[in-house]
Amino acid sequence: MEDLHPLELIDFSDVLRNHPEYEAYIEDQKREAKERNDPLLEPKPLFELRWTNRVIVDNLPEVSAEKEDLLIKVLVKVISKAVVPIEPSAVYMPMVDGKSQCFAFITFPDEELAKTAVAKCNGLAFDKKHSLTVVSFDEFDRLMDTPSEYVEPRVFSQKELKSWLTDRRSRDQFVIRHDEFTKVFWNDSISLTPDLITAGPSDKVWTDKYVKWSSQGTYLATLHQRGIVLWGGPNFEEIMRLSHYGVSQIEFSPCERYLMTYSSGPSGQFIHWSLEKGEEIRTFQANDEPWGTYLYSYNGEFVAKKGNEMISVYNSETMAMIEDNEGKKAPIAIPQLAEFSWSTGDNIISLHIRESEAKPAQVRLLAVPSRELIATRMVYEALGFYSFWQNNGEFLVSMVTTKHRNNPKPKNSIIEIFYMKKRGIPVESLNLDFVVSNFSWEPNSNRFALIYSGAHSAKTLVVYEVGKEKMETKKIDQCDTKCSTIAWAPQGGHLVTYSFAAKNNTEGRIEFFCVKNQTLYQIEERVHMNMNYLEWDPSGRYISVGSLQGIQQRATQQQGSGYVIFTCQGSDVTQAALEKFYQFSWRPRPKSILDPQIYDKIVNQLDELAAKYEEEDRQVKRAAREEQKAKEMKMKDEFFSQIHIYREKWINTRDERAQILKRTDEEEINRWFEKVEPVEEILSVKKEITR
Amino acid sequence: MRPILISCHTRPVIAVKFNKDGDLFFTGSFDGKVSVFWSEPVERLGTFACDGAVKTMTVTEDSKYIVIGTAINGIFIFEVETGTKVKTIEFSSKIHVRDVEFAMGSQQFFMISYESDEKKQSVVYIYDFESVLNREQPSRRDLVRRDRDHYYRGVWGYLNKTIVLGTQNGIIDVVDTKTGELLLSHRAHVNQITSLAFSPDFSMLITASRDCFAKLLDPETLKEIRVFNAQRPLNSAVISPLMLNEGSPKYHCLVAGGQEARDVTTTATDQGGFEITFYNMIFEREIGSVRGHFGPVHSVAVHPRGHMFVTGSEDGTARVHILDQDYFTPAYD
Repeated sequence: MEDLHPLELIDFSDVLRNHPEYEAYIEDQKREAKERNDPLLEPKPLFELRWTNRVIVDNLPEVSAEKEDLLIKVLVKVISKAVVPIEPSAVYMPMVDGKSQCFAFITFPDEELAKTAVAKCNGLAFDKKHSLTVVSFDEFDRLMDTPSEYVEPRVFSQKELKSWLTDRRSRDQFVIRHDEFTKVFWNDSISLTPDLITAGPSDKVWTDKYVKWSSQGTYLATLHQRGIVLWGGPNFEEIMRLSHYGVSQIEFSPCERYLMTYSSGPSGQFIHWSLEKGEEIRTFQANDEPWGTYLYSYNGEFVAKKGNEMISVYNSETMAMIEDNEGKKAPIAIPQLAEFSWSTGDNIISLHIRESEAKPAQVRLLAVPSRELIATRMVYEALGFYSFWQNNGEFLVSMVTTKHRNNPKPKNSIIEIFYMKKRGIPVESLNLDFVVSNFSWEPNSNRFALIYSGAHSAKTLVVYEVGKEKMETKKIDQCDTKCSTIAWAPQGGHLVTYSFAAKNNTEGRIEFFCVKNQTLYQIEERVHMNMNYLEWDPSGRYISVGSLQGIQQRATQQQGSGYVIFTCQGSDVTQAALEKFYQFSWRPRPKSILDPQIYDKIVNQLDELAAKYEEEDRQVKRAAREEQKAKEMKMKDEFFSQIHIYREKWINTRDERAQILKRTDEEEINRWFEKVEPVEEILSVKKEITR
Repeated sequence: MRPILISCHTRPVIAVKFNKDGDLFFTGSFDGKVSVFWSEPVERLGTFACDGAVKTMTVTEDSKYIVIGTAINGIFIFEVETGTKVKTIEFSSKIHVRDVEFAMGSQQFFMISYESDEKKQSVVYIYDFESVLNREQPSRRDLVRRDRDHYYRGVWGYLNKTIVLGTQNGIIDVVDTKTGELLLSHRAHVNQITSLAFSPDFSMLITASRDCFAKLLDPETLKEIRVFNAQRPLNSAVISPLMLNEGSPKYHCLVAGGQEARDVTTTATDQGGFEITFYNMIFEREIGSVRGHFGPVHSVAVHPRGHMFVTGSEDGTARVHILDQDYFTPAYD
């Protein structure tokens, strides 16, 4: 879609008025103009510039004006025979100085026929000397846009792409979007101000939409109207462009080999891309399906799509549906399917089956691609149920909220723990006497935390431990909390509970906890105005909270707009108050490849290693202090040179001042003085006889 | 630092002011009263009763007279020592007084008014104070008018040559006092300017606005020198006179405000932003803040010697803060 105003010579007004979206567009423009308080300008209409039903026919014989009609007649005959009967009026052959230019344009009734014409007539022999070249306009544009000189594509090595992981001080990066700026920073806890890495290609707005890190942090994707661009390497250079008009959501596969992009609306599409080739693998029409319909498995090998009472599983590489026992490519039919989720450690799908008349609700585990049912669990009197996978797929918790018989009110929660790594997948059932409102697994661990509300909406945070050897789940500790949601640190050990601001101009709350030696400690409690965002950094050392606003939303003056970074103990690292603050995102890290034995060894040597790193930190701190000092000196000089002019003026105009005040400066100062007058007062007189 | 709480008003305290010598201070409230206090020790002297909500007030340099502007009931002039009402300037109820201030030398004062008649203009008048006291019909001069985006606050420029005016939408106009000619117009803020004040030596101009910023400006070019982001709507900003202190000058300013009264109930008190914040003007750095009020702070006044300050708030109280000895150590420079 292009803005047509520059082409003022051609009158498109009739075409535009008949366009189906014309009315809606004009209404939109009027509303916007009203909001901007502009005088109502004639809105600029949008128009489809892709001539999809026309083709270019090249390599025709050169003829003079007399033979023009004859050539067109022959061309019509050839095309009519090969594709579809057309009229001579559908052919347009430009003539210059009475000679044809060896090419012509043909208009077909629709796009499909034009495509057929390209397929069938390209290379068709026209006469003895000439064979036709037929191309579509899209192809023509592509050819014309191709630069005439060959430029070697920049190939990024893995070392360059992963360079941020080799930072000397193992800092983490984050990206922020505010106003028209997109900036990537190092989070620096020692110099206390984030260290700017890049703000995008110079003198250009990086993107006016959102950005997203890939799942292991290798790429930064920026969303644009015409598609997405991937950036990477130490200086955030452009790696790849993928064109998807009107893209609004993207999702990287966990292995970073594939990408799913989504555009909404009536002509919305899901496109599955291969990032290795930079090519599209398959496009699905969205048909009003929401984002999140297609989900990647834990290693990105499969993509699953929930349909009506069925699940379609595709192989990511070819995007072909997986075959059943008879070798037929068919979706997996599951009657009464409610929800499904991928395991985080295996190619297993967990399914929730709704209660039907005869059967109770069920939780099923389905292996992919074998389609084998590996576990089933019945659930009675279920009101709702949710699945929670531990991040390595070792455990699955299916939490069921039960109801009273003949009463739709929730009664209590039952936690079903599936031991995925044990033979036969045994299930342990935990019957709780309260309704769980939030649940979360500790990453890489066998502990989980949950929150339930007791009487008078007092909330309690409880931590449980699942048995590693024996199937025995024990309660570790509990603590009161005022918040409703749990977020574990990505490396475990710490967790926070938080509540976002309930409405405009209220505060969000964060409580910091730590689990150590089978005890739950509350460390700190913080609040942030209008908090609607919270995220742990990938190392679990810092946590960022903030108050964001939507990009489409009109700018409002909100308290707390901006972000704050806390340590995992709840003390401030840095904060920034930014207006029009849209996004904050930590750069993810790939999973650690460290051997557990080496990891333990490092933990044991921590005291010796700490001394070395503390010395480094001290040096960085000293440098930061000196830089700060220099900056302050400069500010001081600037400030005093500024007020010096007026101070001079003040001194030079003392006579004028005295005239107005009818007093000189000296008299002004000596107008009053302080005098101390001692006053003695006898309060009482007492006589005492001392011996 | 323990503040002295003054709760002699029944409605929000909108204006507080020290006289030039600093031995007296005044608190004006919507309840129609202006109270006068000895500043050391803090002791109430008396009350001036006006008919109608007090909006603004100004005191002559010799502390003889106080001029009080009320919302729609005109201007009242009292003798400070005796408390007798000397003069009332009445207007039609369509004229709202926004601000009054004495010029240097106390020979004249300006009044910013908003006239809610058909024209809906805001007008700045200059009154000759002698004629106000002695004549039935005081002589006044119509200096400047503005149709849209009305004036809200004003302050006299150095040597009474100009008047600096702030508008509802954040524009600062500099007007020649003699001719009424508009010398300079500058968009400093994006929302109402709630306070304008010069430093004691007229080397800097400080503004406070509802757009959550306080700005330190060049007094003549209005160029930004420093910007303080307070993250809450501001009602008042003043420069501490300690910047003229020989020996150990302190380049500090005090900034106060808070969430609008109608939003207050939706937040906890510590998030309303009702504290008074001290900034270092050189480094644009927050030094500290003084809490206490539980409603937005409308006005801050600093003693001419800089060792104490008074604040008036929506919560109906005024607080007198005498700065600790700590504050005068180099740690707070």
